[in-house]
Amino acid sequence: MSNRDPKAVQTELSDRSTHETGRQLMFNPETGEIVVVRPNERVASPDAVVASSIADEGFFGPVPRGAR
Amino acid sequence: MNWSLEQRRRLAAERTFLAQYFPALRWVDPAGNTAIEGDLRTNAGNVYGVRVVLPPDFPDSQPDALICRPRPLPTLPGFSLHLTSAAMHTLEGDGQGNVRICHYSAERWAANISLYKVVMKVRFWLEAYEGHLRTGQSIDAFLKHMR
Repeated sequence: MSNRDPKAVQTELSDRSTHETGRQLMFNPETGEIVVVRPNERVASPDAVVASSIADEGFFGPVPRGAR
Repeated sequence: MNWSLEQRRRLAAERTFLAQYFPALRWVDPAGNTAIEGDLRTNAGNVYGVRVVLPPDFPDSQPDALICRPRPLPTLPGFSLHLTSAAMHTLEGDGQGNVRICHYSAERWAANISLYKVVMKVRFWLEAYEGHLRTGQSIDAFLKHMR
């Protein structure tokens, strides 16, 4: 499975939602793809930027009205 | 809506920055009801129409992030993308069939958060959405809840 395979990206998102994985999620603006990068792995595109922290800060989880 | 000089400066900086990373997004009505819209493509190659709508007091308040195409956005039986749902990281729909996704809450929003980060969250949400379709799990199985 390639590190840009959708399943690999989804698995990485799922894994890092519960624990530190040691991998990075990078965004390649040339292709619009998200790439999973292992430690010490070289990134193919010099324009790719680390986006892990944006996933790691989490997403707002709203409480439905009347559920409080 | 008339943007103040300070807001116009901020929007100009946002525009330059976003163009570097998401060149397919365009600015709509930059002097009025300003929004950013265009297509985002997931790693699977699927294309989604997205819109980020700026509130009049931007950047003091967070923008709305919407998935506009396909409409309706398909989901699996037993799930809804048009209700306020922590499991799906969605807010109540906008009444036009668009899906409003959760990114930053009002409590966690800060004026220095860039639109790039909001769009990147939309991009992650789309990967998680496709994970939901693939596995049958809710979207929060892929996206961490903000603390």
